[in-house]
Amino acid sequence: MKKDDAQAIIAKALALAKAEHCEVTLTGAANASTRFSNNAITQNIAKTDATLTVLSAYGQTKGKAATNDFSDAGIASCVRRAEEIAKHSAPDTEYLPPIPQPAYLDVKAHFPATGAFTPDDRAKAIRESCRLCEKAGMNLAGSFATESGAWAVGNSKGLFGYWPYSDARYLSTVLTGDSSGWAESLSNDVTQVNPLAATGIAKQKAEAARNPVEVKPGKYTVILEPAAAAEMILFMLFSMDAKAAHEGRNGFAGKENTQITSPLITLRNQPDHPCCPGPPFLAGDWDWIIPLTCGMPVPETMWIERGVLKTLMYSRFWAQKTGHAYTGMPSNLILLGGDASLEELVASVDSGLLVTRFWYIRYVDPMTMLFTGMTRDGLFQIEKGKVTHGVKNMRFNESPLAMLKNTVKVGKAVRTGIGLPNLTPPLLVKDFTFTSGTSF
Amino acid sequence: MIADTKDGIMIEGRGSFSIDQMRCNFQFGGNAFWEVKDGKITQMLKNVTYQSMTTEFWNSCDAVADERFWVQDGIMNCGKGDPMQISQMTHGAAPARFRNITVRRGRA
Repeated sequence: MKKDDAQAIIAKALALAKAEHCEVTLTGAANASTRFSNNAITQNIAKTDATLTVLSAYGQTKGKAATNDFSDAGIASCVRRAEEIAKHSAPDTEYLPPIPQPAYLDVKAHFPATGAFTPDDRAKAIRESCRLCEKAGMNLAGSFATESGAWAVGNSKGLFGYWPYSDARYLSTVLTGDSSGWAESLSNDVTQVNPLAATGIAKQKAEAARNPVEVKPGKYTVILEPAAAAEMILFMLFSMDAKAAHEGRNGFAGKENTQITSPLITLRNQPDHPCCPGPPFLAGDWDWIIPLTCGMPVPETMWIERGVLKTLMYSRFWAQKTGHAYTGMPSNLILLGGDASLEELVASVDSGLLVTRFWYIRYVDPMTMLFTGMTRDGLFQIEKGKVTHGVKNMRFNESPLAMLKNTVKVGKAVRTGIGLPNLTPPLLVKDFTFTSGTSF
Repeated sequence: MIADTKDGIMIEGRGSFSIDQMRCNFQFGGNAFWEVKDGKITQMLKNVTYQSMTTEFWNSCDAVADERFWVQDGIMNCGKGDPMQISQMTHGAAPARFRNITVRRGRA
């Protein structure tokens, strides 16, 4: 979706608007993916689509409608539906009117090579990886996906924003009869993705995890590789609504400006970080944690600084009501890393477990932020500074706050594909609670 | 089933849910929990989770309510795979009783 095309569609919607306020979001992308398993391609998908979302408001009543029909009639119908819904809705007492044109960060995240990547290109990379595993008598499964698109926003105060982006992500799971290993490679620029290297790591993990032993549930010193740590942080984000905390409805109640984690933990966002760029503004329909105003710039925010919770997520309404700075929701995350390599972290552990990644994390109790989930694709015993053998997977019941409080070492941060664009280091954590095992 | 239960917990709703990728080890919660003593519901409980292995769990089932209590359930966004593929799914069930299931406190 080119800038001119996006601007023309948004202008058309705004010109048709009769409501007091109108906000428009247009997101569109070309997605392509190839999936594979048992060392062969199983599926190819290509999809191009875009969605126009219109929010109309009369005073405090608002309505929203969406369409992917960009004909004149389609756009008009969408605007009329939003207005009709607004007229029949109860007032939203927290609604605030559209904002005038702000300045946006110039966030470079679009690489033409990603959009130009073909099914043949994906197949060639996958074939190389399949051959590597086939020769070793192992099975490779995974996906290679690309996305090239843009976000655009506009409103009745004359605001316009446009942000093009691209993403490429290769995922590999290597399986033996009784073990598996996982690794990913991702970048906004597909030429920086290295499928064979990721497959090599997954293969090495699967090999090392053969003949897994069972260990008893209990508290263990763990090294959480970046994908595992990032997933815990992602779920923790869901509890970071300042309003809910102030009303005693989440696990961060009463914790602002207090030491909540180890001083080794610093968590911030920076939309224009070159290693994990995020959108410079958020669309109104990204409001899955706090209400968001279409086109508000994403500020750079320090969330946790050396263990102190500096701020939670403040919507425009809650920021105004409390006199706090607006934070909105982050569009990327950077958990500050250290200098230690993963190998150095392992070498520092006398007895513990190395966790490649987690699976199916869910809240058990939002008020204490107790999560449960499983280890997956590479759980290893560490003995006297060395990875000695694979371990059968385990279920944990643990809080991310306890995890970050018990963090005693932080390794080098890398980009992971878990949730928001992020840089996350491996974490060495004491007393991580596993509560049961499984059969593999 | 309640009248036939000497000592148990009745769980309503789905609450928290997590299962390993081979669909073996699971841990679920609920939306309301009731203590059952000597065939009667005696009081409400809170912060309950239960955990088991799928085949052990279903082998421990010793009672299922009849068709009058069967309800159709389901979700609109059952997600599988990575990149995620999403589909609607339905799943009907009647209340059932399971013996000797591990119950834990669902609060940190």
